[in-house]
Amino acid sequence: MKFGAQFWAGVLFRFPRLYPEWDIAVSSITPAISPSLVPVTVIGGFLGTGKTTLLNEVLSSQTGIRYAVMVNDFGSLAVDDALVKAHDGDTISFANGCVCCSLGDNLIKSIDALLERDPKPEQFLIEVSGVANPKAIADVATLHPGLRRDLIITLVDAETVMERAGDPRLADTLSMQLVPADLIVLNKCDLVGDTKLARVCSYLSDLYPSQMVRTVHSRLPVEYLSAKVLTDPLEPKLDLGKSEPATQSSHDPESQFYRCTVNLPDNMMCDQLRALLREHQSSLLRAKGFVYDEQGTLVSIQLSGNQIEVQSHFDGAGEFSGGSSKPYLVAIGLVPLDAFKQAVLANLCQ
Amino acid sequence: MTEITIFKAKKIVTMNERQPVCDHVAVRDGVILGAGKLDELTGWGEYTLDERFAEKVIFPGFIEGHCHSWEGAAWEDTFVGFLDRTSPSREVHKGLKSVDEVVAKLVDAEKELETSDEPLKGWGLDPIFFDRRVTRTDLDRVSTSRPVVVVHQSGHVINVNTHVLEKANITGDMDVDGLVKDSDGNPTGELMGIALYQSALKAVGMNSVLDMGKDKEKSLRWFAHSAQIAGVTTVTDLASELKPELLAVQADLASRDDYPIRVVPAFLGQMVPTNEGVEWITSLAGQSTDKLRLGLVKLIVDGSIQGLTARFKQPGYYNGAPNGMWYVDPMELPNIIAAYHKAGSQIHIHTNGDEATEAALDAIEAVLKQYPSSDARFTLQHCQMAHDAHFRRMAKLGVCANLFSNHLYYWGDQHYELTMGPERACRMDAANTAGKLGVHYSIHSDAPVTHLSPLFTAWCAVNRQTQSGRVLGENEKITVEQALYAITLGAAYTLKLDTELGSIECGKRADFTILEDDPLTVSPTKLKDIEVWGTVLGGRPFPVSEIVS
Ligand SMILES: [Zn+2]
Ligand SMILES: [Zn+2]
Repeated sequence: MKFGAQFWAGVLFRFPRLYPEWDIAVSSITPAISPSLVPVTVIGGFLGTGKTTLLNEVLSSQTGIRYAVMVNDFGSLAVDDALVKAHDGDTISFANGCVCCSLGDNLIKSIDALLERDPKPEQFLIEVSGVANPKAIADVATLHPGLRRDLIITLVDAETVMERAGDPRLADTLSMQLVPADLIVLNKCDLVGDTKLARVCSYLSDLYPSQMVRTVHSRLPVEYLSAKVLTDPLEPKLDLGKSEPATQSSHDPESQFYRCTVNLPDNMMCDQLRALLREHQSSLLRAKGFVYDEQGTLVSIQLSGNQIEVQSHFDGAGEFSGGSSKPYLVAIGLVPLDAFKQAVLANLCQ
Repeated sequence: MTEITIFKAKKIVTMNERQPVCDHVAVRDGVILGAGKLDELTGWGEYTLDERFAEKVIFPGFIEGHCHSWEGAAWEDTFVGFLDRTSPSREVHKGLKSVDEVVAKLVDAEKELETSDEPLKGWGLDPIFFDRRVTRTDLDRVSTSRPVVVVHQSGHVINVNTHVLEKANITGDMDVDGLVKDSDGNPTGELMGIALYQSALKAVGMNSVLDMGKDKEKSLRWFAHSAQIAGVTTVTDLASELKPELLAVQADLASRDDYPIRVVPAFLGQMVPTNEGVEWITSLAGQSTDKLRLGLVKLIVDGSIQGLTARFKQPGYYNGAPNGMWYVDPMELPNIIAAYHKAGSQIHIHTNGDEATEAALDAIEAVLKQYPSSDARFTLQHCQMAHDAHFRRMAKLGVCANLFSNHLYYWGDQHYELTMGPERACRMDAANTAGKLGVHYSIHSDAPVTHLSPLFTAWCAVNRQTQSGRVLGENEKITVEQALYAITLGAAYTLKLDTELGSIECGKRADFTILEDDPLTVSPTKLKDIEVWGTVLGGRPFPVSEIVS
């Protein structure tokens, strides 16, 4: 990997082994002063799905963004310190597995230490272990006065996902990773044949309403690390893995679930959608999408179980000016969703 | 020439099968020269006869095979648990039987605080026993102007007052998991899960729930007192980050003659990348001392049963709760175990649910196939819901069990009614089956999760009685002899210390538990009520009566 000379201005500090448990790379480049909250993107998925490769890909893409990278999973692959340094960023390794109490404590302390750096990071990328609930880590960002939650991205290994899904020890953990995901990255698509890839795609899209992109070697464009790109459902599904588009829209006859995508009417407000979801809750497994709130800001909305969650991913509506983003909803139904879809389209909130 | 002391006792129970009972034991330089009749010991040379135990019963020093040094630090805060508990300064804290009693105790504790803004912290709250949850309104009765935080017995949930919610900016419209809300959508002050409670603690400048307290030395002394009061001479500290600053204090205390316990800390292998952990534990290998034994590694596979976070195979929880959580990816477990095993560490693995136990056994079996070892002595800690088939596998693999017998009394009724249902509750912590099938086992308290007292733990394993008086599994009861073996030689075996500790015979360390009565002759139902005079560690007596707070 080659970098421009200016990227090498950083100095790598390696702290004494173990305590504190991190390696920190600090930069001497001019600070970009930003009063706003620092976005946090959490990257989940089992070990071996390509999370670390993804981080290394992002870091080598010369975006000029100052990333703080935090890693909670230790496979054979390490996040490349040199790449982190190149981005004036900091990298922190924290607890393996999910010893939750200590994990939380270490995590918050590490984040605070990074936020005190000058210049402070422009974006946090937190790689969590497969057994950690990415939502719990994203909650840390929601609660932190200096951070805002951006995305939860879950990586899935196209080759092994069906095995995991069929393993009673791991099926619920897989679901724990995928349910809160804003973006599912179906990786290693080159390792499976077309038939299997189609099967995996329809398995995932039948169960999870999140947007999905397909990749090989974790090659995900950096824009996808932020919520902005996810607000347009009409954009063709990004397929970086194979030339053949997947048959995502077709309903798998084997599946007992029904998926539908609705472009929300312009006058639909968050509270109305929330009420509609409540009303139709019994026929819905999950739903996910973007809708305008009272302030005219696009927020994400998600139904899972009997919980409806609304998340603001952006500092302000300004982020969207000029974007092609439109409010939409993807729902996974336990029954055909024609009635639900009509009610949404007509904005029929009883 | 150093001096020989011969202790005379009413009865010495040796755990040495060749001579189960005698009345004298000779000690020199902290080591037992021999046990037997007086005239069998005088041949060692000139001696002093110490008759202070002439009316007492001597046991091999009790070994607590699973507890945590937080037991000491916990007492910096106000205890608000449901069952009576003795503090390290021998003060008996009455169990609190209602939310009002909890609030009353906190109100009293608040008056003791010196400054007006210092936080008040309680610990040991277990609302599973109450008819309602604690709310911020309750804690606002304690104070509205200072942070009030009460940590639940599980360690994973806290209650806070309104002051803390405001400081941490936690509001009802937040979409974070584990935020308990009232019918109006406002937070009740009960915060579940790391994100919430760590953020709340941070906002009011408080440290992690598992913090070792302000004064580490004091905490570790208190830990030792808790052990000494219970007649314990060797304790584990079974999930330590072994941070250098804590280790230094531990090593310093262990080097002092007046520190009354041997400590076996286990390095929590998941806290750092495996290669770094292996490097660290290997670097400590030569640093063990007489009273500080390093080298043990702990791994945690799942959560707890009463917290509904343990991993179960079908049919899962009795009350229909979803399966618990993995603390480590079961697919990764063999790699982590292999790394520490190859480095020569002994590994203790926390498993509560049967799925976790099975995952651990699968991993151990795979590792042993690749890196055979004649005596790795893996130990499954808690191992509460193992099936007979698991115990059979454990026996074959040479894997020990350290069973959490105190659960039977503490939460046995909840396991029967809510978590496991009658059949499985009756085979929890199946000591009899473990023994019958050839598994080496010990029994433990997991203090501060339950109180540290091997005699109480033995009582639990012998009587298997719940708080309501229900007997959980007549067939899994063990005899008093078996239980006493489990808290001495049985525990020593799980720690690979059985060559040095666990019995009273020539060549072993002179660690004794001194009891006022004989556990083998009192009614088995009175086992837990036997008074402990104190201990002897390496030949030096440590009477409980001399403990000052
Ligand atoms: Zn925990
Ligand atoms: Zn424990």
